[in-house]
Amino acid sequence: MKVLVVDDSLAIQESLGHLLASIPGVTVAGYAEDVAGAIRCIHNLKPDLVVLDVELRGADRGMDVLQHVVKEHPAIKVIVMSNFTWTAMRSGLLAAGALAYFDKGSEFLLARDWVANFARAHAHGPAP
Amino acid sequence: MQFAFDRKYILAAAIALAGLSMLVAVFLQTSERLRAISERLDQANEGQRLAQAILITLVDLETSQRGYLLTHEKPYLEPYRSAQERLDRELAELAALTTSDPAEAIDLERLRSAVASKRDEMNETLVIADRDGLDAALVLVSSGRGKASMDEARAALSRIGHRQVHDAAVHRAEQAAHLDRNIAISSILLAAIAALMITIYAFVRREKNLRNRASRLEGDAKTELERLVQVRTGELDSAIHALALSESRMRGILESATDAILTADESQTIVMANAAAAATFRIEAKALMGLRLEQLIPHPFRAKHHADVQAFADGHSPARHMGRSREVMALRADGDVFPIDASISHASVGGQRLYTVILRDITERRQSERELLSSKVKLETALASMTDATFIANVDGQLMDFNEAFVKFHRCSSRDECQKSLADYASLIEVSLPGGEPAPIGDWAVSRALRGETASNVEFGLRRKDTGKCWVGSYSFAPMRSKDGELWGAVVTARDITSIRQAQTDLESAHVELQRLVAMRDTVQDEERRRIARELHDDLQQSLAAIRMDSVAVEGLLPDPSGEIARLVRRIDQLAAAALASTRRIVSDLRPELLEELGLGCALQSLAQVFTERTGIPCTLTAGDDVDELLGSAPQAATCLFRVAQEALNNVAKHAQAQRVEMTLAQDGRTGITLKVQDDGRGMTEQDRRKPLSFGLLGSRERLRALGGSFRIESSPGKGTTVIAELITKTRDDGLQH
Repeated sequence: MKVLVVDDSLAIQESLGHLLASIPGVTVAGYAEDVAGAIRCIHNLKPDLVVLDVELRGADRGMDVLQHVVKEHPAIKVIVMSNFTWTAMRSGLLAAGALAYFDKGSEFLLARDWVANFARAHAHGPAP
Repeated sequence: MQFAFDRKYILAAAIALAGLSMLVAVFLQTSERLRAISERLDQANEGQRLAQAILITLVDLETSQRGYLLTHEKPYLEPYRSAQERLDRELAELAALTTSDPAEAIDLERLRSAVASKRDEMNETLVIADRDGLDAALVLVSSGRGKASMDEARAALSRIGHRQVHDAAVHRAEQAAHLDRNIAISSILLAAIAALMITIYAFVRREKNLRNRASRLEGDAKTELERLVQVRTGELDSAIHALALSESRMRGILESATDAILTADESQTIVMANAAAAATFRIEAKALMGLRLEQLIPHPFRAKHHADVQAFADGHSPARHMGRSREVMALRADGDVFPIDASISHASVGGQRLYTVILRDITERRQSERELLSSKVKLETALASMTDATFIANVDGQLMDFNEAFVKFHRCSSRDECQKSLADYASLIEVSLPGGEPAPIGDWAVSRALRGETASNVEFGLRRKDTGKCWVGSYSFAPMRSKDGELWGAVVTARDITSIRQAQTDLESAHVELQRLVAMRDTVQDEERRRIARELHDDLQQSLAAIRMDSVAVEGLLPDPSGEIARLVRRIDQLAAAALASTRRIVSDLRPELLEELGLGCALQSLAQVFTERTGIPCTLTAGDDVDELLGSAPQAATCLFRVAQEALNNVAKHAQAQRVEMTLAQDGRTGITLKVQDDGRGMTEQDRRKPLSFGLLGSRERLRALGGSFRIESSPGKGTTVIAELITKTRDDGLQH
C-alpha cells in the first residue's frame, strides 16, 4: 500500500515516514510540502492513502488538498495529522472527507495503528 | 282773634242747639198727636168690629134657634147658649167703648132693647116648641116679632158703626192741621240750623286759611333766621377749626420733627423745645425750658458761642448754618459730648428777639461715614488681593471699581488704559462664545448680570482688536441690589483660563494619542505574538512531535525494552510530550488562530475548553448565532473581545475562587456586541476596588476605549464578579457589505 506524506516540516516528514514505513505492507511512496507538490505526487504516484497536515508550506492549506482528492480521486483515502487539537478543526476536516484526524504530537501511535489496520484491509482487497 | 273766633263759634253752636231743642219738642208733639190719632182710629175700628160681631152673634142665635125648631135636635141648643153668652160680653165691651158720647148712649140703649126683644122672642119660641110643638113655635116665628127686633138691632148697630168711623175721620182731620203746622215749623227750624251750620263752616274755613298763611309766613321767617345763624356759626367753627388745625399742625411738625428744635429768648433762655430736642439732650422737655443755651454747649466752646451769637444778632442775615468750617459739638444732660449739625435763625415778635436753633445729632452719621470709609478700604484691599479680574458696574454699564487683576486680564498696561464704560470695551475687545460665534454686548457677563441673572463659570473668548492677543475668560457674575431689591449694579469676576484650556486641549489630544498608541501597541503586539506563535507551531511543535515519533522508533529498535537505554528514550519522549503541551498552550495563548479561522464564537469556545482543562473550573459559553457574522468584517473588534475574555478568565483563575464561569456573547442592537464573563466567586470588596486595575484588565479597558467601546466590572462581596465589554462594530468596509 502506497502512502503519501504531506507536511511542510522536514523533520516530521522524516520521522513520520519512518514510523509509517515500519508498518508491514506500507510503502511511503513520496513526500510533499505544499498543495501543488501534493497534487503532483497524487497524480504521479497514485497513493492509496494520503497522510495530510493542516498547514502547509507558505500559506497553503491541507483542506485544499483534501478537497482536491475528494473531488478528483475519490478512491484515495485521506487521514489528517495535525498539531491543532481543536474540535472545530477536527470536525471540519472530517466533514470534508478525511477518514480520521490525529493529534500529531500525542496520537501518532493511534495513527500508526489506524494505518496498519488500513494496510491489512487493503491487502485483502481494495476498499469498496 | 282766637278768643273772638271761639265766642262766635260758641254762640252759633248755642243757637243751633236751641233750634235743635225746638225741633225735638215739635217732633215729640207731632208724635203724641199721631199716637192719639192712631188710638182714636183703633177705637173706631174696634167699635165697628164689635158692631159687626154683635150682628153676627145675633144671626148665629137666630140660626141655632131655627135649626132647633126645624130639627128639634138638642145639639142646636148648644151654640145657641154660647152665642147668648158671647152677645152679653160683646154688648158690655161696646158699652165700655161708647160711654162718653150721649148719642152713642141712646143708640146703645136701643140696641140693648132690640137684642133683649129678639132674645125673648127666641126663648119664647123655644119654650113653645118644647111645650106646644113645632108648629106653635113657627106661628110665633112667622108673627114677624123676631124680624122686627132683628131689624131694630141692625139699624142701631149700623148707626153705631157709622158714628165711630165718622168720629175717627173728624179726629184725624183735626190732628192733620196740627201736624201740618208742626212740619212747617220743623222745616223752618231745619233750614235755620242748616244756614247756621253753613255760616259756621264758612267762618271756620276762613279762619283756617288765615291761620295757615300766618303760619307759613312765620315758618319762612324762622328758616331764614336759622340759616343766618348757621352761616355765622359755620364761619366761626371753621375759623376755630383752622386755628386748631394750624396749632396742631405746628405742634405736630414740632413734635414729629426728627431734628431737635429749640427757641430761646434774648437772654439765651430756652422758652420752647420739642420732643426731639428732649431726646437728643437726654432730658425731659419741661426741664429743658428755662435752661440757658450755653448749658447745652461743652465748656471749651462756650466763649466762642457767645461771640458767634452776638455777631449773628448784629448781622443782617436772618438765618445761618453752623459748623461749615468746623465740627460743632453739643453737651447732653448726662455729660456726653456729641457732634451736631445745626442752624440758627432769629426773629422779632412783639419787640422781643427770639432765636430758633434746629440741630441734629450726627454721631451715627459720623460713625457710618467711618464705617463706609473702612469698608471701602476693605473692599479695595480685597479687590487688590484677588487674582481674578473683578469689577463693579452701575446700571448704566459704567465701571465703578476694578482691581489690578482686571487691568492684567484685559491686557492693559496700566489702570489708566482701562476704559470706564462697557460700551468702550466693545470697540477695544472682541468677545466670542465658546463655539466661536461673536457675542454681542447684550450677551456679555455684565449685561446679563444687569438683567438680574446670576451665573458662574461662563466662558467667553476675548481678543484685543488692536494687538490681536487672544485669551479665554471664565466669568462669574451677579446683580447687586439695595436692601429693598432695587438693582443698582453688577459685580463680575473673570479668570484667565487660557492656559487651563490649552492644558485641557493638550490632555485631550494626549489621550487620543495614547489610545492610538495603545491600539498600535496591540496591533504590534498581536503581530509579534502571531509571529512567535507561528514559529513555535511551525518549528518547535513539529520538532517535538518528530522527537516523539523518533523516540518511539528508537524504543522499538532496542533489543532490551526494559534496559537503561529504553528508559532514557522513554524519558526523552515524555519530556518532548510535556514540552509539546507547553508549547501548544503558549501558542494558543499567543495566537488565537481559531479567531481568524473560525471566528470569535469558536475561539471563545476553545478558550473556555482550555480554561476548564487548565483550572478545573467549568466554563461555559453561550454565543449568539449572528455574532460571528457581525464580527467577520471587524477583526479588530473580535480580537479585542477575545483578549478581554482571556484577561477576564485569567483574573477568575487568579482571584475569584469561583466554582463556575459563564461567558455570554450576544448581539446588542443592530451593530452592538456585548461580552459578559460572569463568575460565582468571592466578588470584589471595597479594598479590591480601590486597588489599581491589573495590567490585563487595564489593557482591556484601553483596548475597548480605542475602539469606542466600554468596559465595566460589576461585583459585590460574596456575589461573584461580572466583566462586561460593549462594542459597536465599526465595519471598515460597510459599503462593501451590501
